[in-house]
Amino acid sequence: MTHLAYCLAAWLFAVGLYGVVTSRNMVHLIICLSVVQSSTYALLLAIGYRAGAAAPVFADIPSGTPAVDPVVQALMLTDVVVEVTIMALLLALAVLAYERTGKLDPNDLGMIRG
Amino acid sequence: MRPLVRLGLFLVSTAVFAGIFVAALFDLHPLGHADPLSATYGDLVNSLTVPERHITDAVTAVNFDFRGFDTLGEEFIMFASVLGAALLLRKHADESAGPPIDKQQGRQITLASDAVRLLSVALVSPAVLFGIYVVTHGQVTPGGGFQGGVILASAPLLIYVSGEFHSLRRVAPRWLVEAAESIGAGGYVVIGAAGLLSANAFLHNFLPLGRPGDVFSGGSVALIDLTVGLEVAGGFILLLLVFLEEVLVLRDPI
Amino acid sequence: MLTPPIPVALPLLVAALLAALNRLLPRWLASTLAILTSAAVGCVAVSMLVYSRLDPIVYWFGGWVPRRGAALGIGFVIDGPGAMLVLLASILVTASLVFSTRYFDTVGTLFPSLMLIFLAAMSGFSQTGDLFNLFVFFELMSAAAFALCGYKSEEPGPLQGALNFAVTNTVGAFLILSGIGLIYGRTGALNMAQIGRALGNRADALTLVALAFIACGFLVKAAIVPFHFWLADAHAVAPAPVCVLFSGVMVELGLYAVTRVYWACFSGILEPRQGALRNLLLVFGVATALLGAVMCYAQRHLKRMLRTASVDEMDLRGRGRQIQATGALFVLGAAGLAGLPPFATFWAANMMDASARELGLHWLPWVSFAAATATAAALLRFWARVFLGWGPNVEELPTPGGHVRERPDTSGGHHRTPAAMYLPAAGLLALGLLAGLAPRLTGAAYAAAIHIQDRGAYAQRVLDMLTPYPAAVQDQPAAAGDFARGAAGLLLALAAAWMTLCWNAVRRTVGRSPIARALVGVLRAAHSGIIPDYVTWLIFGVAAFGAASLIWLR
Repeated sequence: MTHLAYCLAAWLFAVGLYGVVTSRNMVHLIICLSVVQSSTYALLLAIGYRAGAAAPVFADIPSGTPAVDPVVQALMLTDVVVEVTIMALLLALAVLAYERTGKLDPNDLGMIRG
Repeated sequence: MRPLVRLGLFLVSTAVFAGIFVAALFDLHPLGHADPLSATYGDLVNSLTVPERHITDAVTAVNFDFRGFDTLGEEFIMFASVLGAALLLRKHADESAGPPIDKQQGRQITLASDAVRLLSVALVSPAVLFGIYVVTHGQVTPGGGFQGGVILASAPLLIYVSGEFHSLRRVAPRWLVEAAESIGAGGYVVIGAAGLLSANAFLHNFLPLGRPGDVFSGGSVALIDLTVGLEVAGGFILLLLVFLEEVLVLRDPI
Repeated sequence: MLTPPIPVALPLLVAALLAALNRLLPRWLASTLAILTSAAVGCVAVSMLVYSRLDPIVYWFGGWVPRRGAALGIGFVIDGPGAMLVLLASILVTASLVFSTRYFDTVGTLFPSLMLIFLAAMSGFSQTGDLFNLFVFFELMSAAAFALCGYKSEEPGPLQGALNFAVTNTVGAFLILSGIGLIYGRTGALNMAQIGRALGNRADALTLVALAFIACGFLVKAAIVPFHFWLADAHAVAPAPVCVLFSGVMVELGLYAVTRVYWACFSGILEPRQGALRNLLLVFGVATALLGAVMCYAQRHLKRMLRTASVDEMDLRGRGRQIQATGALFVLGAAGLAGLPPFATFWAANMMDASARELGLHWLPWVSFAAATATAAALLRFWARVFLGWGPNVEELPTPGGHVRERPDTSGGHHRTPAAMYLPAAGLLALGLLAGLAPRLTGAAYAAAIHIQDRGAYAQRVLDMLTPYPAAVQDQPAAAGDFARGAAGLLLALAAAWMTLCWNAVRRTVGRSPIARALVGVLRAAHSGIIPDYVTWLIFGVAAFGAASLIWLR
């Protein structure tokens, strides 16, 4: 049971990919991509978790108190910002593709066959 | 590929993929019980952040001090994506801008209700104040440039919700937002270069560290927080502007 | 030490400056500033190349020097290959910035700004010694590349190409990040040298799967089969100056990252199983070489085939006679690709073949020879058709390229190639030639390969600040047979090009044979341009790689 929480990461990754592959709408596909991304959040935060430890903020607890791993939290924060903006770029591409072709289904968008 | 073939290949591959992923996850330490003998990078940071950096929020210490160079890259990822979105959604020669969709003839204008307008106007100044608070207290409590910048960027969004597109453009003209974003992004590099010149290492601290828990603590981390806040707020407002312009300003189809 | 941050910091600063002055700066001034910046990065790279010849430069950001063997900050580790890649990136960015001054009609400062960010990302990527920092620069490279790829956003093709590129590479990025998470969970470290030490010699499911995820993520960028689909689409639609960067350096950086991460972090755990891993990677590599050659030969869309101008081969037939100089450059380039001496590619092919023979893989040189010849033949066929006007006007074989109507990137007539467009091309070819003639080139390359593979020495240099690096290595002499093979490759390529164009019997048989049709049909169906297909192939590749490594490498 001690490892079951980690498996959330594998589940989110797989289920997000399922969404990406079966999606009928480009915007939906991009949202599914962010489900895949949340898998990495779950993995990083679970790895940094310490049972019974405090949050890594030493404003009201003395320095040296056992705290959870701040590095993975910082990595996750980086990851959030990176992907939010990449999603914005993807959505801009999807909006434009819809304006130019009137299509949003990724299966119809394969106009550059090859 | 036929959809059914694709689905079959996908399901088989993903089952294998999930299987090996789970096998790897079961080799990790039991949840919450890392090996106490081997101090991780995070444990080192927790023990050093207050004594050596006078920063009480260890996550901010990692983001802007220990691994500040990562955050420089991260900030420019945002900068590049926003520039990219602006580049993609730029107006082309064969498109002509018309009036916004809500001003087209024959279209019923739906104004925001009084309740919505009142609430969003009332929320604008608290949002700005709260944003500034979060940006400037990153080294003390959870928060910092990224979180605060997003809160700041919600103020123009509230203006858009309360009034209309034109008042948003008046409050946050495109040139101003672009300049703010670029200055925020460039400012980070300048702070890094200041460290290079004063202490011979890029992004080295060059300000007094202050007292732990004070607003003015953590040395140049406080300055970095400000530039990141400016960049993030500018970036998100610019994204809002280019997307709204793309959707709301009518263009002739090609 | 002031230089190591410059290749990253300087282009970023200038990029921010250009974007800030978007409305104020005239176009020529923005281009000039960008070109000067990129050239300055090249000069810094040369100085680092010289300086790091005997001892790699290790540089800690924020002054966070490791304590008791544990890294606290992010470190750059600059050795020969890293500095060389920065130099290559800056040369190519400079060339394409010069090229693009005449290439686009309307450029604000956004284009040069994004190009500089791209350059900074590639520099950081080749220099860093930190696993997560590698990921950050991977993503920075991606963000700039997605936008540049969709630059011609008034047409649907570039948008679709950029979407394919962005979605597959983003999934690749998540794989890398998951791999990094697993490794951090085991070692509690992000510095590559430290990870290599902490992992020790034990291979278990976690380490093998982490290696598979990280390697597959970077192989997406490197466009290795079956992760390669996005590259053809991105090439077909991206502006030519951007294509040069995609296949000229970005793809190689993906391979470089796999090499670097493997030798610094994972070589210890796989020491007893090195042969098995080599075979696994060979399967992917050989598949890529063969598929690449076949696709290239069956391709009509030139830029998808490679890069250069945005033209469809058939449309341009015979028109190219007016631009003979460009044609000559083109042939020289094809000769270089075929691995003809004295191009640097000749030496590279030689060294690969020599090491393959040392390992007892006598068939491998023939595969690479065939792939290089087929690629050169496809290019020569294009040259013969466009510049000499050979061959008929119709194509028998259905191509796996299909048709995209692309508007030309430049405006105005195509009567003369402007100087700003052919000078960069000529310059790059000259550099390829010069590199091939440079003394002690192969010796330096061998020394670099030995350095990269020495995990223990790397860790000591980075974490303990000791300098146990070995001495330089002698040059590898080229045998007469190698020269003969290079020449034979070019001749064979010419012959093949001539046959497919002018020998009607061959053309018809090949064009109508059911095998060729079936093969092209299968390839065409696979390269569908549909994102869900690509993601399915991607996850298939990851599952195959991961399962194979769990079975054979444990």
